[in-house]
Amino acid sequence: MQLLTSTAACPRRPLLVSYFPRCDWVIMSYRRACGRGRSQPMGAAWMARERRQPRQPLSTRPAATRVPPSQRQRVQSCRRAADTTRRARAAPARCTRVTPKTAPCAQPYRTRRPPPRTLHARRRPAMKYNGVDIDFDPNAKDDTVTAAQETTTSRRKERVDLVWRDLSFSVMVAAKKDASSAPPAPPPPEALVAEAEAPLKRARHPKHVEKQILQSMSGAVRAGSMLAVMGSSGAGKTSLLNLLAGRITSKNARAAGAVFVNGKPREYASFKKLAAYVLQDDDMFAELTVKEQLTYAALLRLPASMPREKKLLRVQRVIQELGLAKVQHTMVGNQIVRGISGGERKRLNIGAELVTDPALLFLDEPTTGLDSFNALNVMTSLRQLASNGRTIVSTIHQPRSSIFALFDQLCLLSEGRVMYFGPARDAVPYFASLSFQSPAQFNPADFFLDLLSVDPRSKEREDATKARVEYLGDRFVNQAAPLPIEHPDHDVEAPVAAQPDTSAEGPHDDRLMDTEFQSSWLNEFFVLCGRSLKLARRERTANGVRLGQVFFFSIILGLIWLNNGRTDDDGGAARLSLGGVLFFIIINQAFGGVFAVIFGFPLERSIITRERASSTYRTSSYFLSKTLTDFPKTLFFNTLFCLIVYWMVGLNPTVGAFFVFILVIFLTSFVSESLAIAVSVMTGDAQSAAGIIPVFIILGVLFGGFFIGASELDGWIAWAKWLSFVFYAFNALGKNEFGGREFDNPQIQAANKAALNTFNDLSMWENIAGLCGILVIFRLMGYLFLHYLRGPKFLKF
Amino acid sequence: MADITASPSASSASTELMHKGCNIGFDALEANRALNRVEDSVTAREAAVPVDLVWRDLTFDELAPTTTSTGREPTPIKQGLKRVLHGLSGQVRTGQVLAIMGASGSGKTTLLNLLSGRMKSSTKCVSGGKIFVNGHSRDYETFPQIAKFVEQDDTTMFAELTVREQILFAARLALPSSVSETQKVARVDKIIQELGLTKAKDTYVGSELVRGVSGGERRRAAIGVELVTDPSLIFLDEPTTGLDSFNALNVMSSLRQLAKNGRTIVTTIHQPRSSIFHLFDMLCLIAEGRTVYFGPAADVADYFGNLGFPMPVSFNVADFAIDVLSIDPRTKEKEVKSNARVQYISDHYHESVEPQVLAQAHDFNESDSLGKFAGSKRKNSSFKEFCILTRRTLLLMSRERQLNTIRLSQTLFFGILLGLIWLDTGRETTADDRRAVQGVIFFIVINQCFDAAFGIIFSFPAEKAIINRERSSGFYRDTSYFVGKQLCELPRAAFFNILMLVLVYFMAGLNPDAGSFFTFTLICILVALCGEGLAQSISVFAGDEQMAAAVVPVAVIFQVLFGGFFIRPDALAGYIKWMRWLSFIYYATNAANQVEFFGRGDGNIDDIIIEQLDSSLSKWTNIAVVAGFVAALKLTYLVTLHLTKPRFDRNL
Repeated sequence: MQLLTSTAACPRRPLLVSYFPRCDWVIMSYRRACGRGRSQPMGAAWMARERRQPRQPLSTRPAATRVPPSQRQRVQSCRRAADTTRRARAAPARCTRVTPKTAPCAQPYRTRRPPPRTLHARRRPAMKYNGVDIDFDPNAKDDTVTAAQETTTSRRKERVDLVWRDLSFSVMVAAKKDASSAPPAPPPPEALVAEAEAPLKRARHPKHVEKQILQSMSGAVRAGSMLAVMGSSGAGKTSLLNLLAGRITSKNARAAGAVFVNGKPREYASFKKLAAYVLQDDDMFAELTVKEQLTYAALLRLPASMPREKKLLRVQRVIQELGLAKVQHTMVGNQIVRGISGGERKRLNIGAELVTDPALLFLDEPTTGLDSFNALNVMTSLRQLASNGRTIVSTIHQPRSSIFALFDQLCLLSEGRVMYFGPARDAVPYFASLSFQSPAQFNPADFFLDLLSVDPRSKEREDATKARVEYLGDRFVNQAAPLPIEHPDHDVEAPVAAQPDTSAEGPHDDRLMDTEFQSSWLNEFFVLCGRSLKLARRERTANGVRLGQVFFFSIILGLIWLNNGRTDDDGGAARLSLGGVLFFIIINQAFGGVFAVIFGFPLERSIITRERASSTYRTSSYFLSKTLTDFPKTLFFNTLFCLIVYWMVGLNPTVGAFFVFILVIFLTSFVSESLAIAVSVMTGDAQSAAGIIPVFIILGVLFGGFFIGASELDGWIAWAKWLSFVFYAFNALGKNEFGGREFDNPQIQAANKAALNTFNDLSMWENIAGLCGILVIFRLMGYLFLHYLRGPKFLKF
Repeated sequence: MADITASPSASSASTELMHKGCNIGFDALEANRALNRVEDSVTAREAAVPVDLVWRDLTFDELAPTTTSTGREPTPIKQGLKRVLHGLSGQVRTGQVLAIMGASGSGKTTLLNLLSGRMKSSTKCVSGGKIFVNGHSRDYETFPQIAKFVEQDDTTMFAELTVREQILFAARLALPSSVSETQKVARVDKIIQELGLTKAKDTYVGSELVRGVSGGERRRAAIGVELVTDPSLIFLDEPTTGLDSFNALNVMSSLRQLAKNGRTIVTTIHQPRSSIFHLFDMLCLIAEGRTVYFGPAADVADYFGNLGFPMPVSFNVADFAIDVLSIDPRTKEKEVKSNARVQYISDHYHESVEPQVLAQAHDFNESDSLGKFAGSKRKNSSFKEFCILTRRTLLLMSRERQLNTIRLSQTLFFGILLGLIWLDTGRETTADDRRAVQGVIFFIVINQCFDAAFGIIFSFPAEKAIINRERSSGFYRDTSYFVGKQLCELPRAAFFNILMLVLVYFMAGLNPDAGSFFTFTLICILVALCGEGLAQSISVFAGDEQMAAAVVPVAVIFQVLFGGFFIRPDALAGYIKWMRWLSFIYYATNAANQVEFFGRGDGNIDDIIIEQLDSSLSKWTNIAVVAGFVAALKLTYLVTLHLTKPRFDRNL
């Protein structure tokens, strides 16, 4: 309190930032484990004990009671709990034993480390307001974290240690044209990262320069610990994360180095199953609720051998654990549809990856855009996951000190070089040993960023800061001991890790299978169909707009050509005019189908790319389910359209002809939708898709046979008509209308004959077959583009 | 070399740490210390108008769907009036930085919008309360001139302009013509220097597609754009979100500096680091739409301590406050507890603290010094605005390389393809060929229309966001933007149309008379302009690009339908026949057909076709009508543009 007042009086005083307010439990358990109980502050010890106490007996824990437990289940969960608790106790011990060997800069500064601050936590009588307890203890927040609890996501499976050596990463960048802008050196930092993430668009530029993004990074992170990757924007955080996760997408990039998983070089196929990656901003279907979102992930990504109830149970537990229970029935939402909050969204992103219970979790800036409280919530959940034996690697911006204290390991980057790698709590002493003293009460995270950022505001500052970064980089490299690839006690750990699976688990039907995909093709197909149908039903605006279009055009067309098909007293002029309505209907359906897709599909594509990157399902089952669920929707709108137009105009009044008409119209819509999907997949964004697709449609229309008769085309270009779906559709409709009707009035009959003669020599069914052929080709192209061209391809090194 | 480690502090050990001839010493506290010195900087006030802002009993109610989260299926759609702000009061005076903080959903942004007068006026919400500027009720004529608002969304800048150009154009538009160009340039350069943008000044601002400056630089550029008018009052919405700690501090120290120089700054902020927190003079904490603390930022820890929530010794005050004030939704129990806590704190504030806070406002500046702003709402003449905007548009057009290349290749492709398909058709004299010529003519006409219309759907939404921001800041009149933009686009549209026609017209062998060619070109240009106008009007009206993309094709296809090619006008039934008069394609095709068939005395086949044409209107009448359509559609665009101008709630 005194300190506070003095701060108020003198604004120039250093800031009240905590130096690890919440890390006491980490330190405690660490100390206890290695048996060096030196300089233990009593308060902290007391608090640590206090937090361990109020744990409930195993049988009454929520995880176990949630389901009316069969006898067997209860036994299992008890065993599991005991097992995890045991392991969690062992975990910190393991970390500490290793630390001296892996810590790059060992003893000299550690002895100078000040004892951890005693926390200001005196016990007061509980405060009440309106009869409700309103007490608040800022340090007590992490009660969930202090002990490994029996939770859903408690680990039963293998633990993963990740070691990387000499990772380097570079991309080709277009050389700047004007050499006049003096030093070509530091590019806009944000752009650098973007470069690493996106394939270079300017690949055709003649001059390329190789830009080093990361230089010889080494490091390791053990099971049960949490690594923070920090650095100013452009330092290479995201690139490092991508490299470690094996998710470098850049084409013009070169990566080198080695990543070891549990001592063995990484194998991409098995690594994919161990690791999950939470992107900074994941796209999600706005019209699904939180629970549905997770349920679909569980149904698709958990092995077929696991019973459905168990999968649903796991979803329920993930919801519980991430604190999403309140919003589980709320739609995710987007700018237009109101949905869940940013913090909830972020936790949902994490939850979607957690359903498979991954051993290794990568996160890119999980707290950006959240308020301090929500940020802490999210990170606390992650800490909990780590305490349960997972390995967590996360980049982070502006962490508050309580968040910083949750991290075990810290990797500091600047300008693509490692500035520090080691235990998070040793970083401040390390820099102090290099005479960069952090002020007493400064958030260490902020201090590092200030210290390591290149200040571009003036030339002098830039030179000075660059030199500093270079110095620190050199210093770190010089004293870093080479990291052991093998975890020193890996051999001791391995059997322990393997045992529970065989002993405690009983039938381990929830083990991920060795195949790339966990579900059977059929199961994937049905689940995806269910999802698409649900989405199709909920897309109210899009459906409304389409319905409006259908009514507008069908009625207008009906009115224009009203009864033209039935007239028999104008010498056949009305009959000849029918060609116009047939052609126009086709154009209208073609454009309608296209614009329905162009805007909806890019979002869906980015979602499926993400889902496929984590091997959620096969492209084929997705594509077939998509095709099949589009079917009824398109058919519905087309039938409605035909019902109105056909009878208003008075076209061929036989039932067969009417159904053929619907069929052709439907095929036309479907072809244009397929075309739009294929092009959207190819181009990637809505804007270029919308530029290219009309060109294709207009070409189709041009060769459709109405603007210029098919027979009038010169021989050398006449073949182009066979590529036009409009051509087949128009001819099929023409044959259907004119081919099947006889008239008593000779004039009309003659006109009918004349009209029929303008169509091609193929029969109606041959034309329909042609249309089907084009449909198959476009769909297949869409599938192939999606599967091969736009599949999640990552650079392997 | 400036000695940056001269401060006597704990870090004196780091003095003269040299590496490769550079002093690399670092003092973490130096950054803060520097901020408390008032520097003689650019942004030192030239014409100081101190502004004190006082607000009393601000309330805000919003019609919100009350979601029932109990059902299995999500069933929203039940509207109820929900109180978002419950009578907030406060004040901020010249030279102060006020931070508005609170958990997400507590009403920070709503309060900021109300204070800055940027609350979108809408029938779905009601605001109440009083806002005083220097002791007088807020005057919406002068207020926008002294107050500027920096949006959280900084994507509303032109991607292809450099940082310097961006600020320079803002200066040209927002500063009165009495300030000379050299002075404007000087001011822009000073702002750039002040915000630390010197290195980035000649880099494009960039977007997702165009490579540009970093996030921090972009944010500072957005602030720079609003600074050009030297506003007395600056509002910012989360200026640090998405930046790293270092850049966040940079941005905030720039703002602190601005406040020191006599400005009033109000900002919302998330997760400020302590060094940022210490830059704030005043703090307004909001929870659940209620004020829970208003006062000096430095006193907040004491305040909570006295309430029975002592802060641990070394804790970031901002984090502590948000932790205390957040509703924890994770379990029912925690939620009840945290709700009661927030209730307690806000009741306590309301009963015992607020009266004192309110009493402090009496010694505030009450001079009516804002009078000099009256009547000078527009800084430049229409013509001046027009010139500046034209210059900017031309610069942008010359840089839109990708767009231009796509359009060029599309034109060449279609020009040559159409030319090949109908190669020499016009030079034949058989009946079939003469009829086919009608096909060519119609196709060219609708192609020009489609091209123009679809081009707009996709380029327009981004531009709309930018001009909405600029219009909100009162940079220019709608008309000068409109005229400038249209005049610039005209030559480009004309160029592509002429190119297309040069290819098709002569390959297909249409009427070889020079006059006919030029008339035909004119028709095509007019049709393209019609298509543009139609798409623009709909895009402005539709709001988002998805809706625009659904409606524009309908409108265009409707035009095409009555164009006279799909069904001959004389075949239309009487009750629907009139609709062809609504189709500009109809007039255009008619005129184009007349150009082709009237001019060539090729004999009776032409005569048959001519008979079928609607010759009640002459060629030039048709063209005049199309021109009329252009005028009408563009005017509709201007009117819709004006109608959809961002309008703000002026209740307060």
